[in-house]
Amino acid sequence: MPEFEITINQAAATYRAGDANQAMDDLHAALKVTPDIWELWQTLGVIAVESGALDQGIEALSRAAILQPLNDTRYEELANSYILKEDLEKATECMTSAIALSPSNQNHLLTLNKLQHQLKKEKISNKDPQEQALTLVLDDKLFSSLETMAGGKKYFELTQFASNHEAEKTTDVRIHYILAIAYEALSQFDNVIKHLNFVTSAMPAFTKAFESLGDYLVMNSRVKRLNLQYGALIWGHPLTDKDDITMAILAYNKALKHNPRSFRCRLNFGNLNFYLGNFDKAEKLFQEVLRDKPNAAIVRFNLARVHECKHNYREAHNELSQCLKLNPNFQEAIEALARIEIQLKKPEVAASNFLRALLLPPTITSDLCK
Amino acid sequence: MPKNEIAIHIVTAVWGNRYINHMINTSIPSLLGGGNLEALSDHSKAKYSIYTTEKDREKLSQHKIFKRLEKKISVQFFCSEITRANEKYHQATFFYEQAIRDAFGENAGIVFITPDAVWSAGTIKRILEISACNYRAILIDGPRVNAKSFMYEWKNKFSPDNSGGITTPSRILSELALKNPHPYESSTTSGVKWLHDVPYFLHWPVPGEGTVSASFCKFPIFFRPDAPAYKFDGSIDHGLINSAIKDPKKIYYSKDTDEFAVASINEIGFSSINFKPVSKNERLLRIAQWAYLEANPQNMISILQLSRRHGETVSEPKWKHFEQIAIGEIRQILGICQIMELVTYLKKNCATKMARMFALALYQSNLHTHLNVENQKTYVIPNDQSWEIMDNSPIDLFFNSDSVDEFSNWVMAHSTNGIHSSKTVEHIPKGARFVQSDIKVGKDLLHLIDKPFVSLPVMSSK
Repeated sequence: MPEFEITINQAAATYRAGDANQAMDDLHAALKVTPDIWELWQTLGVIAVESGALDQGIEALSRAAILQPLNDTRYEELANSYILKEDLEKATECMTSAIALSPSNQNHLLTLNKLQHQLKKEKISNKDPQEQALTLVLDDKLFSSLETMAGGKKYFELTQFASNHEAEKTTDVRIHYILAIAYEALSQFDNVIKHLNFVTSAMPAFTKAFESLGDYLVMNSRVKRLNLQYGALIWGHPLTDKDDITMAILAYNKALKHNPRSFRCRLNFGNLNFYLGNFDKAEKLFQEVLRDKPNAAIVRFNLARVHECKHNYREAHNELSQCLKLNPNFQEAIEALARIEIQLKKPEVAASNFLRALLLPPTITSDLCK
Repeated sequence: MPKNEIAIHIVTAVWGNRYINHMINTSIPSLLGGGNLEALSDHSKAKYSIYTTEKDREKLSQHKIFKRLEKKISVQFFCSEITRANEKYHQATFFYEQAIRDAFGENAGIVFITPDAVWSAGTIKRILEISACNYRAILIDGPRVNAKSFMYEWKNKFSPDNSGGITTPSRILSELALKNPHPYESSTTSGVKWLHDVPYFLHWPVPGEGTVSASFCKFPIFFRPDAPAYKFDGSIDHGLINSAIKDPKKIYYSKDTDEFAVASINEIGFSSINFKPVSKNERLLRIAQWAYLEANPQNMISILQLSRRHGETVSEPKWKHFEQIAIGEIRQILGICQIMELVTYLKKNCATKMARMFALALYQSNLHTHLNVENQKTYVIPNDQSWEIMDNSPIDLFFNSDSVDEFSNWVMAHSTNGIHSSKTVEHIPKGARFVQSDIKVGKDLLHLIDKPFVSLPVMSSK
């Protein structure tokens, strides 16, 4: 039996014996070592919800849903937790995602109906997610073929096969998600965005899809902007930019709504805000990430850049010093530190850092975390 | 075989459905187009060598366009397993090394064709003309294009002829490439505000007409080995020519897309997100940093060989003007590389204080505007100990300067134009002694001394 199953069985026994706190502590300890096992998060979530720790339970169940995004039960559990928390809007989104994956599940439909009725009564929402979800039809045969090809990393073949079988027309969200993954591997950003748009509209609680959608919209916008600048220089084209930034902001906000502690999303959304000049928002996001991951050098560097732009040089210096303790050869951070030292009138040490940075290999990184 | 005619091996390394598909849709049709394979029709020793896997050989050889290819040229497959699927450049290098061994055995010249490239009409014809003049390598700056938009326009504009060939005149191909750039090309264009992490291509826009382009790493479309094997770093466009060709006169650099236009069809790719915002000065510094660490001696010569990418319009005076700008910036970039070499030496030889001043001037002042790799210099640099007699530090000048120029002027005042040995150098503080002298650092000469220049602005002795 795998070790995590032993942990789950022991935690369940401890919980049944009446010690929910100990059971949760044991699960937390196991998750520190193996944070990618959805079963551990799910057990933790169920115990927490049943014990009345709703926020903690919802967070754990969200993590389980992120790790197992194509299983309707994960969203059902999450929806039930939101119902207990009386957050009917989020519960509805989770049930819509569950139905997208299992359109004929009568229990899901019943729950969604009730939620919708309640929402209408409370006049909270004027959306009709059930109507949208009910139009979805699963295509198990096609999905299974594509899943096999994806498992073998045959992404080009997968897209060709999908094209031959008119998979673009399917309403099966799983197929659109697999196509998004395949086009991601083939670096076809437009197609990734197209399929993620479908997935996110059908599954409003699918955090990971929203995160990816946000990232790809930002990348696409950056690529468009570069080519616009090039076109303007050579051909005198106007620099008008119908970019995807507004959509990216929406996608990131949706992702954060269901998983407010996502490292990737807060970091990338923070970067986007930084480039948009929304320094306060960027600072808040980076600060929050650092509370969870104080050893993330890239986040400390990004936060320092925000401080630099806000002329908070002492704070910037502090962040960069900590960043360089974590990654001493981070060339861009050394350059930034030297710039800050000039502002702080520490010229000798600034010059020394400029020299150090000059002779180091450039940092080959993307500021988008994947 | 007529006298002076060398055997020609056209060589492609290809594997995987995606690239087989590219080859069928781009490189083979353009080879079948006018002035390419037909230029070899009278050539008695020409063959097409395809390095691939057994599985991909089967797929390729069953395609109808392949049958048409076989009618034009003898095709040979060399099949082996893919051992480095995740390192495509290493795998390609492995195949190319086999091709080089094979070509050497027959004293043949290789025409390297990547599977995802569109060749302009007449490219092979021109390669044969140049190779007949005893060149051992022909290098080009092939533009990288955005696969999706380029293919859409190219396929709309040109249809295959009866033999499956697509004849694309070089000016039209070049214009299509200029209008559908890969974001990497955009980022390495002067004036664009973001730069890629690996900036080995450089472009200067010529408004309304195209770009003046230069590259540290040009692609060898033709190579004639004179040894059975070469060990080279990276891909063939980076290290092969430096390892293989010692006589620079044997290398032909293409100067205009009228001669060759070869567009490389690229998806946007994850590396495309590695862009960083840069100012003009940072752009030059980043490029120089990349070159200092990565470029080999042949790459350093290659960057000075400008090429023109353009469509129909060419206004000579305009191009000359932008070529002047380009060459000026390249000389500055190479000048920064020289300073990096100098600084590395100073740091290792007890002149760290002055090394720091050079670094500060590069980052915070406009030192690059003083640099030109063509002008050899003699540097007379005080060592660290010598500053102890001063009551202020050279760094004070940085803060006391009225403009950023002043600090760079002070740094460069430690040099004189030309090479002056320790016996002839006149620019030296009175009473100073040489600690080390006549040290060759790149093209320049360096003397380390034991006394600062007190006569330089705002410096004074205790």
